[in-house]
Amino acid sequence: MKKLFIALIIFIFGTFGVLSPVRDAFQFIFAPIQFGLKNVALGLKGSIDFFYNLKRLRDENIALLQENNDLTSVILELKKAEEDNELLKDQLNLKNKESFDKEFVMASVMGNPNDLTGGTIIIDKGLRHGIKIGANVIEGNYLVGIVKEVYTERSLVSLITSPSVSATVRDIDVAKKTEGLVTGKYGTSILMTRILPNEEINVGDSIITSGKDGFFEPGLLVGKVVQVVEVPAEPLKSAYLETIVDTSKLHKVFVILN
Amino acid sequence: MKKILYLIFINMILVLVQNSFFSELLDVTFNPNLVLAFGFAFLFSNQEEDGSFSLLIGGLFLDLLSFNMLGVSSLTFLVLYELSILIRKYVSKGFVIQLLLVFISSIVYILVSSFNYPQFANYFGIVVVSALTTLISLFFHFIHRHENKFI
Repeated sequence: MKKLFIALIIFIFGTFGVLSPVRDAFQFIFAPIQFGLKNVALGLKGSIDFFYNLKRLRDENIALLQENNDLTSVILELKKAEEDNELLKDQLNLKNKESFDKEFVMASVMGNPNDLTGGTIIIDKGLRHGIKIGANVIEGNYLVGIVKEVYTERSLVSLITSPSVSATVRDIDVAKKTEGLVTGKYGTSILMTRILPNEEINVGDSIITSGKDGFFEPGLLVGKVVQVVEVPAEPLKSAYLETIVDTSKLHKVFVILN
Repeated sequence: MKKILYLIFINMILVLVQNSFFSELLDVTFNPNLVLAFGFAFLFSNQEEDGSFSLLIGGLFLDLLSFNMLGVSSLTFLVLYELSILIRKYVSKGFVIQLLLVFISSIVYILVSSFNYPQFANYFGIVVVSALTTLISLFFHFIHRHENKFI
């Protein structure tokens, strides 16, 4: 009973944030051990997966080699287009501007053991590194999620695949730039809704953030369309997207600071 | 004093393994609660004081390394533990009842600690995690039976 009383006192102090400095110090001290253990677990898991999926890996390797060949030809075409583009720019005397001049901070990722849905991750950067609630988290130009809670040393990130995250998006592969709203569906699946019936959207199209929601930077890649759903009785269309980044296997991410 | 230091050290190791190793290796959906299993195993061995101290310290470590409200794990563990002691005292000391108490306590703890994530509905995951926790508690019980020889 005495210990129950002590636990109650700790809980009351915890509620008012009195013990936050203790938590910050604790997390700072144990972060290297936690990441070390995490890397050992990932290595072990990787080895198990490798032996378990040997045949699938072989098929995947063949497919990747094929894809690599296709991409090489695409790169050649892009290089030619780049040369043409440079020539045109020079001709028009345009100054080459950076379209995305944001500041980033790199963070290591660990899973959130309290969230059994896998809809959130913890990163090892927090207030001390300039991170604020609502900061966008990316990998390359791919949207990973949004910062939900921040402590001095760590932050909690809601992934784009979490049902609690929504973003306004548009299709960049069609001329009319079809717009919609995406919401996570767990795993690597995202649902894009509110697509007008007369607007075009196709399987394989790339979907990016439009920035109209005020929460996400415009131009971040969300995923590719894998299925378009059209129900005759419903006025609006929807589509399932698949993230390009596997959110369950993230190691490093970047947080946009400004 | 030696026993207290031993419990603090073991709980620290268990929290690190649970939060950083098993959560990655087994996926968070199937991550057993080692702290609860270790603390409740003392119940089987009639070492109730050791069990409550272990759960207090283990719960605190769990909260310090996660985004839970500080103290919520210790408080939940100890409320469940005290209830289990009362059930043992007034209802039954049967082995199956004790295993059931660990299983139910694990379920209640998951529901309390995942309160921040209302979209959570993986009932299969909860049952699997709780069953794993119960089995591990049994394993710890066999260790507890022999540990007094070393401490």
